[in-house]
Amino acid sequence: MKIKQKLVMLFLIFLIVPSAIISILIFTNLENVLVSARRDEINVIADLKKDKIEHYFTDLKGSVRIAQDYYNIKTNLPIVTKYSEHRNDQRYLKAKEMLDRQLSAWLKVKKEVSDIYLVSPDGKVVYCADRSHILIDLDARLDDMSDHVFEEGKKGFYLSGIFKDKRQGPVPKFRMLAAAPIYSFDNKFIGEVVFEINMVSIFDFIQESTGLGRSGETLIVEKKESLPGGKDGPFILFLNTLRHDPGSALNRHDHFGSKTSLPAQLAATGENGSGLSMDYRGKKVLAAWRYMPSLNWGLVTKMDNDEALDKINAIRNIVIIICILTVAIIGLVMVSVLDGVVGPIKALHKGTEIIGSGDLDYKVGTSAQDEIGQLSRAFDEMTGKLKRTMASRDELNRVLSELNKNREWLQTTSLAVEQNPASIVVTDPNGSIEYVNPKFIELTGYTLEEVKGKTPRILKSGKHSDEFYKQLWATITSGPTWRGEFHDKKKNGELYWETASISPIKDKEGKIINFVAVKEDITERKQTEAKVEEQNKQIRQQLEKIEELYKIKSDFTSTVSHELRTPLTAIKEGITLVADGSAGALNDDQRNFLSIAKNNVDRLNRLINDVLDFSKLEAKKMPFNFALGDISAPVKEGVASNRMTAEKKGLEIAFEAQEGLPQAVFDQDRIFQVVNNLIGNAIKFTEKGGIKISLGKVDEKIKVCVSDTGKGISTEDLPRLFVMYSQLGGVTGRKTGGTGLGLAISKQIIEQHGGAIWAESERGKGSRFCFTVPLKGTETA
Amino acid sequence: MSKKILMIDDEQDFLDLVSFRLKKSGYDVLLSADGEDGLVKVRAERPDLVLLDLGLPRMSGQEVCTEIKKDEKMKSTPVIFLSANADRDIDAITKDLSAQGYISKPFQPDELMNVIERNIG
Repeated sequence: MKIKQKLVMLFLIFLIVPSAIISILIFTNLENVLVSARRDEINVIADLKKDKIEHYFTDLKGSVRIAQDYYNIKTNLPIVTKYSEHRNDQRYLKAKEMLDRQLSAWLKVKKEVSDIYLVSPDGKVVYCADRSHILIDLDARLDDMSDHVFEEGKKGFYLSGIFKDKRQGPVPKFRMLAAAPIYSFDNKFIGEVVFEINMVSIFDFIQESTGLGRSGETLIVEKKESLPGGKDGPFILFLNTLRHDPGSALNRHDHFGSKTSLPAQLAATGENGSGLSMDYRGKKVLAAWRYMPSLNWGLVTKMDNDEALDKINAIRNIVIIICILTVAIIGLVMVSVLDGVVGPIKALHKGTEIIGSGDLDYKVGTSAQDEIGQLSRAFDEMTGKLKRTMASRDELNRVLSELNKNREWLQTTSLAVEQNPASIVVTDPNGSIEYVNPKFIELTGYTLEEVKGKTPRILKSGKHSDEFYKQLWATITSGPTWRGEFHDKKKNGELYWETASISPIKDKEGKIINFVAVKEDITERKQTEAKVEEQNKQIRQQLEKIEELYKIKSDFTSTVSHELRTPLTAIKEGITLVADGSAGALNDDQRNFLSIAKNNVDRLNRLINDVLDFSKLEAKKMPFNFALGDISAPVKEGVASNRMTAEKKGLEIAFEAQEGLPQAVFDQDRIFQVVNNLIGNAIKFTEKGGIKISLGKVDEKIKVCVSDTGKGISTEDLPRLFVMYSQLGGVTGRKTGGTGLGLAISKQIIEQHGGAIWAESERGKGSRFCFTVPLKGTETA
Repeated sequence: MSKKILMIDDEQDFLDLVSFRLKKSGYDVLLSADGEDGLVKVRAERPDLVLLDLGLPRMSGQEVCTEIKKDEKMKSTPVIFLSANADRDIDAITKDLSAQGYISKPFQPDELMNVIERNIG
């Protein structure tokens, strides 16, 4: 169990238990006080009512006794008795009037007395004071109203029990009769005087429940040995109307000895007292019971226990609420107080766990001034010391390992310097040599002893200007590394080239303490460079020369072509004029010879055109009109323009193209020129069979092929086909009319389209010439 | 009335031969051997068509054509170039100078006659 839980348990035991006991004691005490106060109240009410009822009947008895001795009654009773058969008689009327005068006044004073009768000696009502009762009561027998009243009344004052007046209306009226005998002056019994008591006002008084709350009431009972219905008793009979049972009067009853109606039973048997008991409904009540000996009635005043203790219940609820609130508030306060105590302990515990797992930077950090706060601070201080100790140990280890590394590094470095293929020179800040490595010694021929203390100027060859050295010095003393080349002199006077990088070495304050030069012998490279440079220069000169020659050739060709064409034009025009008969008629021989001359002029012209074309193509001066289009158009055109020639020679000419060919970039006229040339060649060199032209796509290129069934070309001749002025096997153009330039020109055209041209053949089996044109043209296109 | 053709060329032989053919075909032919003289003749004689060589002394064929096409009165006169420079430049020149056509030397006689007829026939 944790501290917090223990403390809470303690709290419960020490706070709640005593407070509960105290509450119960206070409450019980209070309850007793309240109950006794209530009982006193009820006792007072019961006594008051009992006294008043008894007083009333004592008073009534006194009134009856006075009436017995009235002169008026004694005088007139015999008269109204005597003339009861003749009530119109003057004597009767007079007697009645006298009685009325006295008795009706009485009725007005005594409210509880509803009527006063005078009864004849034989028990017949001969007079009634209330005139409204005359028709009902007069001549009635008194015993018909209530048993035994007349007989008992003869003997002296008699008070009947309560009865229901049977004669009047549907609503029962409760009455009592009080009778007393009348004697004449000569002491003879002459009748009775009877007071009729209306119980309404008495019951009203009894039932009046002031001071008895919602449930309280007062009731009267009488002990009966038997009931009118023939039941055997003993019983108690309830005489008045009850608050909780409106039909109870003279009706409700209860056995003696039953567990209900206990106060009523006690009162009816002559007991007086008060306390908690059970009423006629079986409910717990606080009651006071009284016996009224003069009437032989019991009186009970009571109140439901629940209502009597209402206030106590309310107080009890308040006490419970106060107790719960108090416990809750104190509990909350306690929990927060406990947190204040337990919190730092928890923090300390967490701290030890964290530090225990290796985090020495953790601080518990509390500002509390109590013992736990002190403990936390002491703990933090301890952690701090522990951390410092660990840190200094770590630092020592680190320094040691660094030193080890440095030592290793120094060894490696010194070996690297000693065995370096570059020469290394270390000087002091003034430039005096402190160290040179073996490579330096090997290269320059100086020993370390010879150069130590001297400056690197001993290597000066005089090939660099003073300005060069000044700039070098200015660079390295201002900080950055200097890089450059030296043309220096060895000890034996031999000159050599080396590249060098010279850097200052600085201490921690930034002061230069050394310069280090790392140099590499590049003499060999320098010599090679010089040779290469010389060769390049020669090549450039030659190229320039060639270019010049080329230009001269191109210009020459162009000029010659032009100059040749001019006379040729005149010759042709002359021949044509003569041949077409414009200058006079010709014979057949003349026409034939002129035709030969004209053909040769045309051939010469073609030759000139081809030479001119080729020279332009070769010099890349031929303008091309590249455009995107369908390459089958110029091919078809080539086929069409050669069809007639082929057919004349009896050759078949066929064309086939792959379907859906994409467009390509090409010069329409030039491709036609190539196709025309290839078909022309095929026709020229084929005697039998036919020519086939095919068109298709291969990779991203259009491929055009011209196949023939001619004599073919030998394998060794194939490579020479596309070279200028080469007609095969010494066959000259004289027979075929060719210039020998066609394929060379075609090759130039196709290559300048970015394509390729080639021939496939075997002697005797025909040839196939193909070329390709890329779909997207060339870079130059 | 027959149409008048002015032919400007520095080759006298060529002038003789071609003028013979043109006259045979029923045209009036005027001849000039250099560009400057040719331009004077264009202004003075108002020919129906000019056959113009490119390489001419004193004033080139291009310059002559430019002058003709600049002049409001003469610019409707068709100009046909005749050139031995059988390359594509002449095609460009023809278009640039708003000439009506060109014929490469040497030419087929029919070719020349067709071009002339197309312009003034």
